[in-house]
Amino acid sequence: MIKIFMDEEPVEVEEGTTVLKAAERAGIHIPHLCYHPAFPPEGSCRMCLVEIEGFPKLELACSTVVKEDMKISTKSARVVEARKAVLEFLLAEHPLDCPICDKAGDCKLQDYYDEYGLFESQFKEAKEKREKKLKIGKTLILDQERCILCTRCVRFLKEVTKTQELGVFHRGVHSSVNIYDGAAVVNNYTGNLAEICPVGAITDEDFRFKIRSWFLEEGESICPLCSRGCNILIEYHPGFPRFNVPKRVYRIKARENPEVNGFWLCDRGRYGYSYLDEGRADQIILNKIEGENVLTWENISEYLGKKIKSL
Amino acid sequence: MKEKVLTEHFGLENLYKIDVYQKQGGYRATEKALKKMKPEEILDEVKKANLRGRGGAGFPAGVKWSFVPDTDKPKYLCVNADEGEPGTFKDRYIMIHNPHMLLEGIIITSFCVGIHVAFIYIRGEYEAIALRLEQAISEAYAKGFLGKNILESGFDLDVFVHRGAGAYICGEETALLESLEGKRGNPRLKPPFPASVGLWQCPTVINNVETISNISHIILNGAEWFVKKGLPKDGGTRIFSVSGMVKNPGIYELPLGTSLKDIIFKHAGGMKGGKKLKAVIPGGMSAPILTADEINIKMDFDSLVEANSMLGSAAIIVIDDKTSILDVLKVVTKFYSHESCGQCTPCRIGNSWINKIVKRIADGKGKKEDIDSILRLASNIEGNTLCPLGDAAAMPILSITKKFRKELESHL
Repeated sequence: MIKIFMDEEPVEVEEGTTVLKAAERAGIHIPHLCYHPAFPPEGSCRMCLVEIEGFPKLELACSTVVKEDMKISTKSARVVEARKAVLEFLLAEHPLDCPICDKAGDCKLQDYYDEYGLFESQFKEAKEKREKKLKIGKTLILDQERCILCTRCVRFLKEVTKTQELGVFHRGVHSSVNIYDGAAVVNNYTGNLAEICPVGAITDEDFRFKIRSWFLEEGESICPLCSRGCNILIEYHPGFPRFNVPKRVYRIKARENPEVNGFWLCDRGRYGYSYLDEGRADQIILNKIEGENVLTWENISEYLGKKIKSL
Repeated sequence: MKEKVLTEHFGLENLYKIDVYQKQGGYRATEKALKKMKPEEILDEVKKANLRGRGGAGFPAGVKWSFVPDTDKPKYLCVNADEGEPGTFKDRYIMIHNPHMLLEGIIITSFCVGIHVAFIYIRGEYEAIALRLEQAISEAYAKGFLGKNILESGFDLDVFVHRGAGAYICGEETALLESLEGKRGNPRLKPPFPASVGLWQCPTVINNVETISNISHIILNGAEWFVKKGLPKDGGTRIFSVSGMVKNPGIYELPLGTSLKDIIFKHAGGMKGGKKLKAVIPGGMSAPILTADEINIKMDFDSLVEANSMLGSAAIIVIDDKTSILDVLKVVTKFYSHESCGQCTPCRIGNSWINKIVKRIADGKGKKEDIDSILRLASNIEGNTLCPLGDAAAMPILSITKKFRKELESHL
């Protein structure tokens, strides 16, 4: 264990830890977009820049390894400015279509702007036009304009599935993620792409436009569809069936467990949840009522009221 | 004492052929190094010579070599012949006139560091030069200067020429490695540095053509001689590529520390057609611009840093008073916007944004706040990018906008 100073607070961390992980252990969140704990640091989004005493430039929290007595500042004026600058750059070429974006409420770019941005846009130029609705897989839709080129998706397909269906094409501001020659993303782990996309660039047709994510609650569970026992999160509508929504479970997500499934979930486990709502009693059925024997949540109170009064 | 080192025999007929080169004393340095010197002695000599990298960053070559760890892994040498910095055309002269001088440098460097495979990464546009290098390499193989057991020293070395595909970013050392590995030329995150984790994850030395070309001269004449050719902390000569509005554009090999004024007005013959000097870019397009009042300056790494500019690749671009500075800025911003690899946020979007503003100003639709926007955006790029391209773009943009603000404002 070595001692470092995180925003002037002494913190004990293991040797070899990165600044980002050390900060997390100290309860300090350093914003990051391209970094994902499953992959080696990429360092391309520049969101996690921090100030380290003795270093002339701001350094990446995701890749810099802590050293004894390192003094790290995650809130200094320079850091705040740099974060704002990165957000300003990202949002300049972003379509800002949150109201119609399926990822709204679930989007890191949105969250970070709320927390570290809140500036007025100075971008007065024409934005780059790109593909808005590319079908890149069985259920995956890619919006290149929303993409911030964190390349998490590209790296997932390179390092986890090793199928490499996605790549970065073109250069500079014209860079965009795409499939090769129309060959779709086909493997048993495609659903992870929508999950690791920090913005609304890759969305999943299984979930897209069905419900806003903020109406959902999540519960921890284990996928029952095979013997592996992948750890999952079930996102469900807490008001079902009382509210007028068509189903209870909307999405299954992977839940991190390094010993079983890492960060990932297969497509069978992710999309095979429909049985959860099928054939379940979602109506109130009263056998002993004369005439209509189906009650709704709206008229049950009237019926129950009558019953209680009659006692 | 002869003035020139690298370009001394340029112009000699068929110098690129090994026989002619050997008649001028070629490959004597290789013999000396491989037969009479130990690798440590070579390293010591190069360190003492204070040979600083000629590609742009000016990192001492000997120090760079000494970072290569002692491992069982293969080690590689990559000679950076990408020469992408606008205004720079010195390496092509070396390779076309005297390719064997480069090969000698490669052999000695490889022997010193313990390398058995070397690559020359040459920009795609230099097709004819790549062919010339290939010829020179096969001549060297035939004479036993390359291949197995070179000069019976037991040392093996193979050299390959690899042509790039025309991206400026591939001149950045780690992007060059990616490109050489057959991938998209995106820069890598540093650390680790290539000296420890480079080509195919193995220790790799990357040096510029001009840097490597100096090696044989250092070995033959000694470090002391080399230091005397330049400055104590910055040994040797430098090949200046002079272009723009001068009477005699071209390459000029001069001692480090020669004044910029002398280079323009003495060596390059002064301004073309009686035009007046307005500004000079002293070290390739990435170097901050100097105004006509700032040219009384010594051309070496440290003096230019003091003047808030840089020697870079020693490419001097001379701008006359008839040239609109807005045109200069337009070229600069268009170039970096086009050549940004697109990997990291500030460089990808910042450069394109600035380019869009400058284009709008040039279209006559400039707004009062545009100049401040350019300055703000460029300083938000500077220092915050993954590789030096961000700084390379921000530095000229900031200096041009600050030093010629009044002229730019006249376009609004």
